Amino acid sequence: MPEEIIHAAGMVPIRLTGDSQEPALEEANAYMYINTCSFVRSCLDLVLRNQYHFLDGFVSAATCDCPRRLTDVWKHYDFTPFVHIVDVPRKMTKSAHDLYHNEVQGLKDRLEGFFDVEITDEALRQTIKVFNRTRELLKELYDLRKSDCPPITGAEVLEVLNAGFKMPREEFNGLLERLVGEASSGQRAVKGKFRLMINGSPLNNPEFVKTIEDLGGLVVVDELCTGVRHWWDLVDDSPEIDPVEALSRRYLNNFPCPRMFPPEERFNRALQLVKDYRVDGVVSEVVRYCVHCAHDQPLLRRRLEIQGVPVLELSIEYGASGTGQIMTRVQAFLEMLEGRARR
Amino acid sequence: MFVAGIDIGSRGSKAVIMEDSRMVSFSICETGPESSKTARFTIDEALNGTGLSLEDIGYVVATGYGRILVPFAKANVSEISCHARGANWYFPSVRTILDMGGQDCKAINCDENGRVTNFIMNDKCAGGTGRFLEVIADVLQVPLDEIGDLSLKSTQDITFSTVCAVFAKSEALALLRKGVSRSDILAGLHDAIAVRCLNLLKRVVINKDFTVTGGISKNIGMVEKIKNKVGLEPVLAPDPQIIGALGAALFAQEKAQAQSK
Amino acid sequence: MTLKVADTTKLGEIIEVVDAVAQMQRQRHERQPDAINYEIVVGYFRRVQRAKEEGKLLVSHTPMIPPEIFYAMDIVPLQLEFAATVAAQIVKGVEDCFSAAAAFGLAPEICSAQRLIAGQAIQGWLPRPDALVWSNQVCDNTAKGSNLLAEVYDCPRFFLDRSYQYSERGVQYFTQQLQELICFLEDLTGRKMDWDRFAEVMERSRRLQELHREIRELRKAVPSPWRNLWFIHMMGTEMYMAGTAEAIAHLEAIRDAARQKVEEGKGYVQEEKFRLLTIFVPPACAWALMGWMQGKHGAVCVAEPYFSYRDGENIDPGKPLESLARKSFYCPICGPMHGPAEEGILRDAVRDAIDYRAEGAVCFASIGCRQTDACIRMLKDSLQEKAGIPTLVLDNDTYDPTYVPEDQLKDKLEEFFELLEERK
Ligand code: SF4
Ligand code: SF4
Repeated sequence: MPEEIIHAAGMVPIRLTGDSQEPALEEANAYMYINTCSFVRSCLDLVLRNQYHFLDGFVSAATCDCPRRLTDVWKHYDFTPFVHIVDVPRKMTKSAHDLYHNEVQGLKDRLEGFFDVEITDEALRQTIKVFNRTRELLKELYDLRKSDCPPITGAEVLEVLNAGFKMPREEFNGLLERLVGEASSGQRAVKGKFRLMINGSPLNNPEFVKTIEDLGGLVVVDELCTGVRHWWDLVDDSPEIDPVEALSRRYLNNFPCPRMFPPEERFNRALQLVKDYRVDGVVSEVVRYCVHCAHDQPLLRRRLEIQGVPVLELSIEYGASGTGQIMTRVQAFLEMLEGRARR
Repeated sequence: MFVAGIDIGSRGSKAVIMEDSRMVSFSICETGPESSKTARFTIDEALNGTGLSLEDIGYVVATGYGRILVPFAKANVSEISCHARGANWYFPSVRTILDMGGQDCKAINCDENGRVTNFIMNDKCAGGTGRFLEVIADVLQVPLDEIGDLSLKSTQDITFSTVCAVFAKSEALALLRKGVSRSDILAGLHDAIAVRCLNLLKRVVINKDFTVTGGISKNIGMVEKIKNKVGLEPVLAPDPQIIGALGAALFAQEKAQAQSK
Repeated sequence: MTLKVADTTKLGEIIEVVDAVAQMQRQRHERQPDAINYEIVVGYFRRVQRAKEEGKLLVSHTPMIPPEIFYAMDIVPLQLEFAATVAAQIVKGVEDCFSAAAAFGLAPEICSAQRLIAGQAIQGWLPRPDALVWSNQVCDNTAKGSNLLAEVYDCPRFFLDRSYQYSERGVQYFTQQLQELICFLEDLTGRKMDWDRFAEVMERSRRLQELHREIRELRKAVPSPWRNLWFIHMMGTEMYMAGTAEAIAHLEAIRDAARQKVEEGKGYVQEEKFRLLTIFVPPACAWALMGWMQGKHGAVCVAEPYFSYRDGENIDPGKPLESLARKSFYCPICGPMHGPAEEGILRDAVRDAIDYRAEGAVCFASIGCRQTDACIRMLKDSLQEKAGIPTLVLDNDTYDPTYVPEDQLKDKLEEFFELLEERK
């Protein structure tokens, strides 16, 4: 879902996230059956508890059964005046592009019509610059994490990313610039016993990462839709290309999410990250009833293990912060890595 | 030097005192509401009769879910590593461990030194844990330590959900109302748990030298079912509940040696 | 991981049992449509069994891959969910399949249909196919499940992607996908598609669609001429036999049986007590429930909004691919499950409730099926507000009889019947 279109319309895109705790989800359960993934139910729960009352509209994408049904519920119970769903093919072929391009154009037309605004090419180009700047800055920040003792922890990075989802983009870029500047000054060096990658379902709670890091595992990179999958690739901003075309290309070809076909595209990118960031072990968190990740997990796990990278699988509820059992598993995983290192 | 391992579990707390890889004494107590008090009480029980006091113990390692709340421990190690290490002390050839605890169930692989090489833990649902058996014992009104024996007296096969404890409970009640015998119900439930354990084990390497640890391994009905499902005879330690604490004590010894170097 | 040995004796076992059932039904006058149904199943599995020796390409596929294409190309299809369903009812050892899937690392949240299919593949229950074709219709589970299968079977694969919304662009995209699928199959068989033959197949598919609608009309009668189980049979025929003469014969038999009742002014059961709307499918392990509801309680299933053709569109055999693409948006299962709810399942359910004079709805909530279950609250509210009928939600697992045992389902249904009785 290209946020740029919303931004270029002069509106503020806010990424819907759920609660940073494992809530009871009582409100949400009344509307969506318990086998809807807890990420979507957590989002819905916040909506029902009036935490998103400031929204004027909701744009979602038919990426997965849960958000598409959430959109159905959203429309049926009329949570906001504007609701729109963007169709996203699962392939990256030429005809898939045509379809997706049409969808992005459709979103633009609908926003223009409904809110009576005009989204000019000029504004889109300007927006693309702003959003690409965020991506460049995040890339710089992530590059710093490749060093032996990075200047920033994984939990801190997640907090930064979270801020970006809810903040006017220009302001976020300013803060990010300062942060990258300070981080590159070489004054801070965080140590950890092992370098970890975290991947799987959407993750927003920094506490979860902090639990892992407090036990001695340093999270140096992620493969999450709230992390690299969100910002990794740039939008082509050359003046020859039509901005809607550039956006649709970027969003369909981006770092693939588990829903895309063929799955090897995602696996290979994840394996590349493991190499580039010199990852010792991978923590895969799969949110309950996140079927896409659940299907990929055994296949990805095998590929990682063949590369000699152990995997810790954690089946959690979205929002979990890393209590009892999770801590035990992470600790045991780190002890296991220690044992391997000694051998 | 004397060292100790202490395992604060969800239901029972155990302590083991060792000297030069030899077990000096151990204790098994109930876990109270306050971990630090429980810890003190458990270690005192183990010290009792040895002529030693806590000051004589050079290094204490804590494990179990209350491991961070033991004031006199110098370090803490996860119960997964401790179970592997403890099992290795009893049976050096063992490479596959099934730990059936009160809150969870784990399948572990280890190497010749008792170091974990792979592990898998069941999800947080209670099905297949000691807690689950407690609930069932309660529903059927059979004392917990008799359910295993009773399950062996079963005469007919009953299939239970292998997924959810909540459903299993209501199913058990429904069967009871229909007049199905307690032993058959228990056998069915034990069977369901064994299937879960087997699925866990299949995700690590199942080696022919394998052991079952944790509180439930004292339940002979359970061990029997696991034996049948896995198709291997597990070796059983005389006191399978203390293996975690024993492993912790071995870690204490290792850490003490490293420190003195 | 790849499959080592396939144990084809299971296939033989299935054929034998279904054949016996078919013969039994043949003996009974009023069960001729059922007999045809079971004979179709027998024939289907026999073709699978003989595919190799007859030198035909065997292609395993998931729901909603148009079988018309396979029949037109003389390829033997094996619809995996259907095979899994039949096998689960006949062959012992379903638990072993679930176990194998769990041991492979498939989480219990993955719907049991997919775990069963994966487990059967790992255990080698079905012959190794020459290729796999699957699709994002109708859900994430079907979209993702076959990646593992392709690895287990180590065979060529094709993923058929359909857009979510019914738009001209969507139709174009899907038409293109179908074209690519045909190229993929042509490469494998070494033969070109015979477009004349394809047109004939499509003509039969069009005829089948017509029959569906004829039957729908007949079912509006009070009392209902309908045997509850027929809808499941019809759904099967539609899903894996569309485009064949057998499928037409099956539906004609059902239509004739229903028409006769209507003409006589009789219902299928002597005393019709309740008219019900069925939402989603009853557990595969408890299909007998359908007969029990009707026989013991006079509860007739009058319509199934997830499983009926929407009106207003027809197949044009002259445009086979575009027709198939369009069909996927308005045909049973696919249309309502893989599309927006408001103009889809919600509208259809309310309309069916009114048109078929339903007094209540029974919703089968299978714990693995996220996308249908997520609509339950909306369906309940819509049916209550717009059609004035109550909905019973039955938690279950389509393939795991131990999740909620049949007895419990019956208890809940009986309670619901009491409530409906009181409302009268
Ligand atoms: S990808 Fe997973 S977490 Fe995200 S919406 Fe789908 S099921 Fe939920
Ligand atoms: S049961 Fe539901 S989730 Fe499973 S394959 Fe069918 S439609 Fe998909």
